[in-house]
Amino acid sequence: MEHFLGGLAVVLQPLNLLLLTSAVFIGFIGGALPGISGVILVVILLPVTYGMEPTTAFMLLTAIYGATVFSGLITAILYRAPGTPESVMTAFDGYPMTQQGQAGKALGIGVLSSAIGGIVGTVALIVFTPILASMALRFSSPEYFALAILGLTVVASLGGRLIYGLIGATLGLLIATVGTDPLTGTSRYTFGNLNLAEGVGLIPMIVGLFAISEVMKRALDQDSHQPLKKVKVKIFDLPILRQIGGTLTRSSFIGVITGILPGIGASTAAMVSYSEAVRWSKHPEKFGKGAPEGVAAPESANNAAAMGALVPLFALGIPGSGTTAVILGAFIMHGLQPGPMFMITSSDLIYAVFAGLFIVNFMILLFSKPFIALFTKLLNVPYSALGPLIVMCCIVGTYSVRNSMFDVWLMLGFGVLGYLLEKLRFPLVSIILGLVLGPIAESELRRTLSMSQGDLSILFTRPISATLLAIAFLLLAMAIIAPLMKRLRNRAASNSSPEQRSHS
Amino acid sequence: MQARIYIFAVAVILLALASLPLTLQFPSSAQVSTFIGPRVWPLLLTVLLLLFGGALLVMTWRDGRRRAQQPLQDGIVQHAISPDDLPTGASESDTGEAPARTLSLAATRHWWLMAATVGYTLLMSIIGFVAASAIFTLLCTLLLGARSWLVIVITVVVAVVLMQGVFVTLLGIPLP
Repeated sequence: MEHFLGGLAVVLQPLNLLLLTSAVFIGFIGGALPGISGVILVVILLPVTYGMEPTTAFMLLTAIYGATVFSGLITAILYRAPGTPESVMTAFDGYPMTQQGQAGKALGIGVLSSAIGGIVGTVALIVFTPILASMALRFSSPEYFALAILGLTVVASLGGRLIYGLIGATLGLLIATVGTDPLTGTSRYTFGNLNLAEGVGLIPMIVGLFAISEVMKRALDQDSHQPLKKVKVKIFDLPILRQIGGTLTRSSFIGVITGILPGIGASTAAMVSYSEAVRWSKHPEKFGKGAPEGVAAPESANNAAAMGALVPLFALGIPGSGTTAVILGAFIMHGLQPGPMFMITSSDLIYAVFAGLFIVNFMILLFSKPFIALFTKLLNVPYSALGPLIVMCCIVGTYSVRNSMFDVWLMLGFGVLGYLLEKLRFPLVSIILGLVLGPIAESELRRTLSMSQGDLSILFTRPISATLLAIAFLLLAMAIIAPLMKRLRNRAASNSSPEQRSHS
Repeated sequence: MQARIYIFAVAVILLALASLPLTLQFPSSAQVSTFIGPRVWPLLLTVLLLLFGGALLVMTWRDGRRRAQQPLQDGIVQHAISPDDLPTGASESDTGEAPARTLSLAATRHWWLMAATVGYTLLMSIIGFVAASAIFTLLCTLLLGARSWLVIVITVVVAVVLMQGVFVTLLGIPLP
């Protein structure tokens, strides 16, 4: 607790508070503009943070991250054009509400849900990270390998079609092997190119896969802009609160847990909590037509998950989502390695970040109304102006990581790849997690086998690694069996109905 | 949609096959000092990729056959939304029909954008960041549909000033 107060003290210094507020504001704008997401913003602002103290830098980046997850709902509700991937589900019920003239109500629910979800998530973040980190200190090679496998399995099985997830993870792992092998010094897949000797960078891949492909997608479909009418946002509406209270609680928890799982982030959390809200509702047919729960569920979940995704990042060094993977890249750029040791050596930085995030969620409540009013004017900037700006920012941002044009080319290549894969509805995050976890998985596997002199069973005899691998196996099994069972049930249903008809 | 998945599966398999000879050239475990050599992991991955690609191919073929046999199977309404059902925003249909293939500017705009970006990247090293950025912004605003010249000029000026100002002057990042 003293740590948290210490962090709070750092954050509340006037200069830091000012920077935090501007970060939140930037996050609001970026998140609200369709085509600019948390990933893009963090990448673009990464060079800005080079000159800063790490504490300030990461306070800013995480604040932007938290703010963007919120503001995506604005355009999702008003235009059915989610400003960030995390707010896709919010458009399902939010836009119908706008169509029914209830835009202000929808926005209010969204704001409240986001803030509450975010606070729950931040509390979980503050509570769980040290616990997880202290557990992780007892980890050795087998545990790290098992953890890496678990992370990849989670993202493969929960992130979409299983086979796609598996292919993506394997691809990511393979790309991670490009470069110099750390244990023997052998060059792998470098084709004599010096640029590849260090391997494929995380930033070029993420920016390319997510940001550039998004620009390409947006270039293709041009939505027409309708000028926005004034909307009155109502946040604290007691009867609504009672109605959505249960949904909020459940969704926030779903969000936190989903966020903590490595590789699954806020977008998936929003989807899962929406499905659950439908399942638990007494009036499921109301969803999709403007049910308040349909806005509350995804918005609380995505903010909670965004916070939760930082837990594994700080505690284990494994990103909890795609955007947190970029933040991991940011840490590496500053020469820091998040993980259990980091919790001990730099706890003041971490707690300042936590405190900052806590405050950000309150700022969402405070500033959302004026911001929405202001933002409606900004929305009329056409994408023809935004598009090139985004591309240029991406290029400059990626270039500045290593002063390397080669990275820019890589980014463009990944951009095309990302665009093509998106058309297949391929879970891009699996590739990213493969790239991030690849080095860990491989080195730890080799060390494990070194420790046990080639005996694989060591992974199963040690309690922690056995548990992790068991969970991974269970997830895989569920992912394989569930669609099979659904198909069997469907076939049974359609087989029985012709019989019924012939009997009547 | 089916065709795309087939192409993807084949591409994955080809990639795996292409990496195989490269991977086999890495020193094996017997040849290095560490317990496991640098070949084991990539080899494992390449084989896995081959297997997964093959699995996808088989699954897609099976799905195609099943869909042809039972076109009325989809009457079951699902309230629980799975990640597969989300709208992607792109103009594709799921019934397997090929979208109207026009080579018009509208249908291929995103490729032109990519081409412009590639050109911009190349140009940057030749004529410098500022000039290249101006040309790129001009091209892209036209490409993406801006019509009024005033808007375009403003965009170009703002973009270049922003880029130069923020990244170079404020942050001192060396740019080509």
